[in-house]
Formats: sequence, C-alpha cells, structure tokens
Amino acid sequence: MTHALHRKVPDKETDYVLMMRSSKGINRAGAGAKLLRYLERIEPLGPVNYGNPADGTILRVDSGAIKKNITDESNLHIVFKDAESARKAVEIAREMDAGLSVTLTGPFERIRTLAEEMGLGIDSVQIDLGTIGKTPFDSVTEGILSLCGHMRVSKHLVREMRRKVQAGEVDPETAAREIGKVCLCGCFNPHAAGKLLGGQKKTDGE
Amino acid sequence: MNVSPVCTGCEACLPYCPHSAIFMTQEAQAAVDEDLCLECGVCIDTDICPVCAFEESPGDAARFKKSFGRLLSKHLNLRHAVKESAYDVKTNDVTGKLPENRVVMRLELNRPGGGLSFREVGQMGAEMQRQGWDPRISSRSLNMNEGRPADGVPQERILTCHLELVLDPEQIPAAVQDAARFVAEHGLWVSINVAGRLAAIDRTRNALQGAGVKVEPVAKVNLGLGRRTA
Repeated sequence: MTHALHRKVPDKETDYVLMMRSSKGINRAGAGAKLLRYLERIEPLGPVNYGNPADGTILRVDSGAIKKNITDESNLHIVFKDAESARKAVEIAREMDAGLSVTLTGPFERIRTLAEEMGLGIDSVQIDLGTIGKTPFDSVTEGILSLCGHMRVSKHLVREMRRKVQAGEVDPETAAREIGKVCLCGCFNPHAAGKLLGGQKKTDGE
Repeated sequence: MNVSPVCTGCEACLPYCPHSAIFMTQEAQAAVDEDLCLECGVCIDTDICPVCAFEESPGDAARFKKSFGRLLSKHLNLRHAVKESAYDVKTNDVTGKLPENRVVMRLELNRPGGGLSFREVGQMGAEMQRQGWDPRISSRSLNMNEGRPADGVPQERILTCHLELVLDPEQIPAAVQDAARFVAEHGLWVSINVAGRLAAIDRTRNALQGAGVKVEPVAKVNLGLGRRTA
C-alpha cells in the first residue's frame, strides 16, 4: 500500500516520511544493526513519530522497546514535521552509507532539489494524482484519515476527538496522539493531525 | 475477533473500530459483527479495553504473525488468488523491477476512509477492461485475470484494493478519465498514484499537465541509496 503518499495535509511542508528498509536476498544481512544505528542518529532531529510495523510506534510503545526489537527484516518509518529535519535525516543516511533503500515522501520539487544538492541519483518516484470522486468526509476528517494509509483510523474516533477538542475537553495535540495510537507502522503524523484538529472551526463537523 | 464475557459494557471501544463492527448487545456487552470485522486488530493493539476483553478467534493467530497479516487476514483466506504487486518504489533501487519506460498506475478504491467489497472492485476492473485497459489487482488481494473476483468471494469486505495498470506515460490521462467516470457513476472514490523510474515519471507529469490533470505536489521518492550487500 502507498501508505505514506495520499496525505491530505494542508501544509505539505509539515509532513515528511522517511522509510529505510532492506530487501531479502539483497541487503538484508546485518540490516537490523544499521537500522538501529540510523534511528539513534536521527532521534536528536526530533521526529514526531517513528516505528516499525512489527513492533509499533512511539505513539503507543516505549522507544526502547521499538529499538530492542529491530531485526534485519524491520522497516523503519520516520515522520518529520519540517523540511530541514528531513534534509538532515537524508544527509545522515548518505553519510552512513548503509546500503539500505531509503525513500522520502514530501514535496517532490524540494526533495528533487535536495537530492541534486547531495549528489544523490533518484531511482524512482511515485506521484499522487489525488482522490477522484466525492468522499463522505469534510476536509478535517479526511485529512486525519489520510495520515494512516493502512486505514486503521476510525472516522468515529476522529469525530469523537473533534468533539472533545471543540468542547475544550482535550487539546488538539493530545487528541491527535490518541488517534495516532492506532497507527501500526509509524507513518501517522500527530503534528499535522493536531494542526487539523486545532484549525477546525467551532461549527465544523460532519 | 471475539469479545470475552469479562466485558463490562463501558463502550470505550466503540469509536475505535474503523468499520463499525463493534456493537452493544441487549445484555450491555460489546460484541463484534463478523461480517463487518476486517480483523485489523485496532481493538486489541490500542489497549483501549480496560479489561482486555477482545481476543483473536481460535485459528487466527497464525495468520496474524506477519506484520500486516492481521490487516490482510481476510485476503489471506483467499490463498488461491493471492498475488502481490511486483512493483515497489520503496526498494526499486535494489530490485529494479519497475519497467524502464513504462509506469505503474494504481487505483486505490475508497481510500481514504475505506471499506468496500470485492464486488465493487470487480465492477471497476470489468469496466476498465471494457474501456480497453488491462487491470490487475495487487497488494496481496485477488488476481483478477478475468476482470472479476473469483467465484464465491464477491461479498468479501476489504479495507481497500489496488487496481494496477502498467501503461505508457502518455496513456495515463485517458486512464484517469475512465476511472473518474466509473467512480462518479457508482458513488465511490479512488486515490490514484503513478510509480516509475524518474525519466518515465517526468514524461507522465508532462502528459498529465498537457491534459490538464492535476498532480499533487507530494511524491514518494526512492533516493537511490540501496545496493546489494549480500
């Protein structure tokens, strides 16, 4: 699934997803140690989420447990809320030269420029042609649902959290993190979800 | 998915199910509608139940071993028809499976939000075939060689499904138009993406621009850092 692509975040500059992984029979041996080393190096950049589909994300699981369970088969998914952090994360990946596949999802032209500046040869690209047809959601709910490409976020949960934010029962960031707990893989962006929740009008709703 | 009798009826789980499969019985206990449940495991993974009342059905555990096996368990029931897409941008720098001069267009039905049946997938696949396209279903779901789901499974509910077409870049605008016509007629929605090597994607973007089809600014980019080490 293209779970990091069709993301309907109003400010695209707040949503970068980096993935690092090995492939069986090609570069898998020793990949776990490389993934762990990379994760420890990018942590100071302040990713807003990261995880490994097999073990969960920092929105739900202690980061120590995620690190402890990284194996050669793990897929590392990391979300940054700004371009500069994403650029530094790519720089670190280039410096480490682990030989693992790295994809970065975000504004294409910016990533293309970044790759050119770093002397990286882009291998392949997946572009987003958007969603055709009318979904039954307004822009806030649709935006939050789109942050989980595995579609584990319930529209009912979003509705409940929207109500709580509007009623002042929880702040948008807390509500976003609660929704993000259902994310298994680490691609959910709680920062972007919090912005969507905080930006809704009092009269918004479905 | 089952709910054990320890359920206290607190209803905390109700909003978490992505497909409204959890309901309250007349005895004020939570229960799961198996027809709606996709065994995604959200009710267990989030620890939302204060008494851990949710439990996997006997026999499901083996299917849930793999990372997203849980999510795809309904698909895995259909082992005879399972086929995974060969094309993946995430690792193409080491697998090299994407074609040199063609691109892979994916139609992800009812995404975001999700929830549809193979009947609807089959209808769209058949329609695309009637329009002269050659769709395949990817991502561990049905291989729809005949433009329809296998016998006996059209009502199987799934989260989403990819219809995949391998095309020349210049064919993409017409394929988008046909997909748009189908979803408009059936009240569905579809998220569309196109994967390919950089040169082929540049050609695709030019073709789309020429046809007036909007391309979102965000893309997934394989940075070419992978290499064979084993």
